[in-house]
Amino acid sequence: MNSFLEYISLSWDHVLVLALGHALVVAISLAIDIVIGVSLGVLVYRRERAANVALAITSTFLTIPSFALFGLFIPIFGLGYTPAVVALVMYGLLPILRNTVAGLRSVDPAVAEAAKGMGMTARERLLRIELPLAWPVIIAGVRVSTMLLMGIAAIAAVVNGPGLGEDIFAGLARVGSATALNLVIGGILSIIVLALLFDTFFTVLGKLTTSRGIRD
Amino acid sequence: MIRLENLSKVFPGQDEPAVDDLSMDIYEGEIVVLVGPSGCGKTTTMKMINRLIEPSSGRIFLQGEDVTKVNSDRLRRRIGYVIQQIGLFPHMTIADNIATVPRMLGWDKKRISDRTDELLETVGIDLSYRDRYPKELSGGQRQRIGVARAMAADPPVLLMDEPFGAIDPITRDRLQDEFLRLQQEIKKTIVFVTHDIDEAIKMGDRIAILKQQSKIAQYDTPEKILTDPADDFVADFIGTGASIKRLSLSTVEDIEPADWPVANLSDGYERVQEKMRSSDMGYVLLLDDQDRPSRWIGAEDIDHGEVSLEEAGRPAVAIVETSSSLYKTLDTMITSYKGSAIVVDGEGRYQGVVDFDTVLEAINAMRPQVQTRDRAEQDLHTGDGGR
Repeated sequence: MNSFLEYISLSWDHVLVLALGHALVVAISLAIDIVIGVSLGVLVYRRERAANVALAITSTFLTIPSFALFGLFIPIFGLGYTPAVVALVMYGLLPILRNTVAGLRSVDPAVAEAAKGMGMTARERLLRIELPLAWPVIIAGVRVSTMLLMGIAAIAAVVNGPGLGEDIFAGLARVGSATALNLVIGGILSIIVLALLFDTFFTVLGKLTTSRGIRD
Repeated sequence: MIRLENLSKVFPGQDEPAVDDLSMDIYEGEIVVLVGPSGCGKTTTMKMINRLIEPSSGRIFLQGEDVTKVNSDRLRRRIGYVIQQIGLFPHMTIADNIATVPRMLGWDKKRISDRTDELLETVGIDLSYRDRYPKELSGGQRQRIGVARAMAADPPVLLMDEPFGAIDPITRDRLQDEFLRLQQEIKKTIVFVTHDIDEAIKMGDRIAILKQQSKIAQYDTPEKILTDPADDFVADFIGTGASIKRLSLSTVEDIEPADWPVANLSDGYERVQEKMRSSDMGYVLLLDDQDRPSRWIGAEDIDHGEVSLEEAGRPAVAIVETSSSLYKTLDTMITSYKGSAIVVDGEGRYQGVVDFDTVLEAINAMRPQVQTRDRAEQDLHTGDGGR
């Protein structure tokens, strides 16, 4: 315990740099995931077959062991940022896509019918009625993706990607030495702190952007 | 105002059309009720008017304009739409809900705000509810807002699909009454769908009784449908009690009250006894000093002269207003002591007394067509050309 606290007091700036890199790569991947996930969800939620295909494909991404996927990307994308982001985007897609579809489908049919009967165009209905009502569910999906990506981002170290994985892998490689444990624990604890920060951010954002009329 | 011309709708995968060659005219300022058994296509028919369901064939005319092929979103902004489950937007305030169509039409803020206040008053919702959300309102309140929202841009036509169906019977009754009062003022053209024949009779200026595939069995005023059903289907649909239902369409004002002896509480025994003797009714109705009915006095109640007028006989309780329906009057009479009801005006002042005989006469007078038809049938059987 003592040695860990000592380690942190000496190396906190190093850990912080890695943590910021970790946060950044997750944030970028999440942003891309939200754009792709929500757009795709909007396109397929009314079409059973298309939705099933999209959901099946994105589910399959999650089943690929991350270690293997990162490795497979080396010949295609090389090392560093690119393969990390591509892989993270693939992993983070399912929760957002699935929740967008579920959220849009959960809109009360009476509300949708009333909106149509009043003369709203399909676009107006989507933007002013359906998405706002599906929003809490979509945000819940974003939070799940965040947790997923926080952990998986650590594996990006195998392709020399950014983030706290560097410390964790370094520690694991030197198992037995004095610094090994500190490196690993430092990395893991930092990921946990980051995850909590991101989750809090999205929770607060969700509350602020959700209408009082549908907040429980 | 609305003309449906040979409208048909066939849903994919079904052999029989849901609506088969329906033609109908709906006149301006009237409430037309489409009523019929489940699955007869009445809701489908109504939804073709605002093209939520596109007709397979036929044409729709709105105020003379052929709207069968125009942009359906824009068409719907000219037609109010109220549905059974109401469908208020839960993420928007009441004010925003009501403002939906006016905003789409580009009204300015002030005009929208004024109109919202006006509508809230019209539907009987306190202005303080403007910034509340639908989840804070009761079912009855929500449907009032639903109606306000449909009327927001003052469309000439309203379509209402079982609007009061999801509401408890007591509130439903009130909403129906209030809506009828409202219609007196605004005189919109309304197409109203219901499966409840009693609601149809109450609400409709004209009723279209629809059979399967929306074939019209009878399209007429409630009075005519009740007294002269076109066929067995209509008669069965009305069910038993058609004559009693007919009574709900007339008020006590429509009939001649009977002649009952009346005296005032302050008149004194002598006077009352005199009245009793001079009439053959056996009862005298005593009024108070404001001409309101107070007590019934029978001959035996004042023979002895021991009890004061205020305590003799029995209190008059079976009382109806001139605006009450004959149905309500009959209901009151049944519970009265002597099978009669006292009619009073809006201030409670005595107008007359009606009894079973007078109501019976009124019922008989309502059925001239039936009597003529019966007589014609009789003539056929007896082979007489005329008596």
